[in-house]
Amino acid sequence: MTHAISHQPDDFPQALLAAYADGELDSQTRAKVEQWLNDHPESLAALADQQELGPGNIALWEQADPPEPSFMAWSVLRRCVDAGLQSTVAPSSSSPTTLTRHANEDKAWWAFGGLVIAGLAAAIGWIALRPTIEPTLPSSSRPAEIAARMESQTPPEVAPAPRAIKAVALAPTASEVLAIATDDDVVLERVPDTGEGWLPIGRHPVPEVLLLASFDEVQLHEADPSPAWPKGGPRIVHAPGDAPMIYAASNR
Amino acid sequence: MLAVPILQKPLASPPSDADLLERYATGDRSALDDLFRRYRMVAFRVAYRLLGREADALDAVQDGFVKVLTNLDRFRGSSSLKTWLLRIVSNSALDIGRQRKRDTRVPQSPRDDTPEWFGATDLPPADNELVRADLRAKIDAALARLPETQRQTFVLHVDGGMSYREVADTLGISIGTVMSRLFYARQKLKMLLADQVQP
Repeated sequence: MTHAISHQPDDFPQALLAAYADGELDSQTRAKVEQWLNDHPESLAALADQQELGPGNIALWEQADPPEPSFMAWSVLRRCVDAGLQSTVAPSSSSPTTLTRHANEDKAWWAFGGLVIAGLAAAIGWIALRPTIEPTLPSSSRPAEIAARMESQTPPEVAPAPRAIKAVALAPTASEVLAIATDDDVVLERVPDTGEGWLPIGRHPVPEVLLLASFDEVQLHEADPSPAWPKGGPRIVHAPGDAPMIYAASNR
Repeated sequence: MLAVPILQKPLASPPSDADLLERYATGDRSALDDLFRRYRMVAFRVAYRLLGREADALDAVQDGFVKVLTNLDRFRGSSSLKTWLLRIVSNSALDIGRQRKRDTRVPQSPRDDTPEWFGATDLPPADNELVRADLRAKIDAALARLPETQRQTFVLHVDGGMSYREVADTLGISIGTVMSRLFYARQKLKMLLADQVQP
């Protein structure tokens, strides 16, 4: 957006070089700056500096972009936001407002040391008896630390067994479409750093595993290559319970 | 042939921030997911540039989202959700930076054999992650030496993608002040970066 200068900076017109380099000036002010540059060619070097370090130097800023946090880091951060919202909505006398500060309250940890030890013992026992695929989120930790811990864990070799398989009658004719999710339930996102491909991202639209067919009833053949698929295309694999699963060939 | 109908459907235009906030207010958690995905990276980029560390930046982003979402009643729509979020994230990042005194951020000294990378036409190959990290470290180090007001203005404009008007509204300053801060910030950055690459 360009705009006229309603407030003239003290160092006029030099500071205008920044706005000129960024294309933020209206045509009238822009013409004035250009006239001034004609009269003061020694200022062209300063203009070049402004352009080099402006957002218009896309090549520079793309290279200097910070590395995007991992999928796990984003997931943990998202859950920390949820935890922060809950703690804000229902604060207690022992829970601070922000999660970060909470992690630094050593005195509180000492005061509740006995309780923590008991809790740890209970947690260890619980974990030994009932391992989970997705670790629970300690609400008082920092997102990056949680993500690092979760990423260092060895992933399961096989898909988790379905919690419950609920048989659903298929549509009577193959031409009918079985509505699994609506547009609002699934978002298609391009996965960064995986070449081409879109994957549905979001919460599972149905709370339970939906049994559509047994493995023997599904066969993948003559699938038209689609640029939207990851390299290798979709595959069918066995899943616990003999439910066919179609999954993307590349890692998310 | 196996059909994947959802991949063949044209993508609908994304809902507006106002729509998502309205849905979130009615308890729709997926609206929050959408908002989070929409703004998490720009918020992270701003926070990272102000702090130089991913862990600290994620803290600032978390703080920003929580504060925005718990104070929606104060959001009157006079500014965009993005500018409001980035203001909170950048302020939070500066708070974290002050609190932690940036002791682990400021920087390894750059290598002496750095090529002439500065300037759009002299950039090294983009696929070299070491070069990218080196460049990032140099810019972070130079930014760390700017006055806080200049640094925040610069980062909101360059990394936050904000116009001068948006930066002015976000920081409560005039457009002339935005210009002035950006001009001097770049001058100083140029000097600092030039010092690093010249023997």
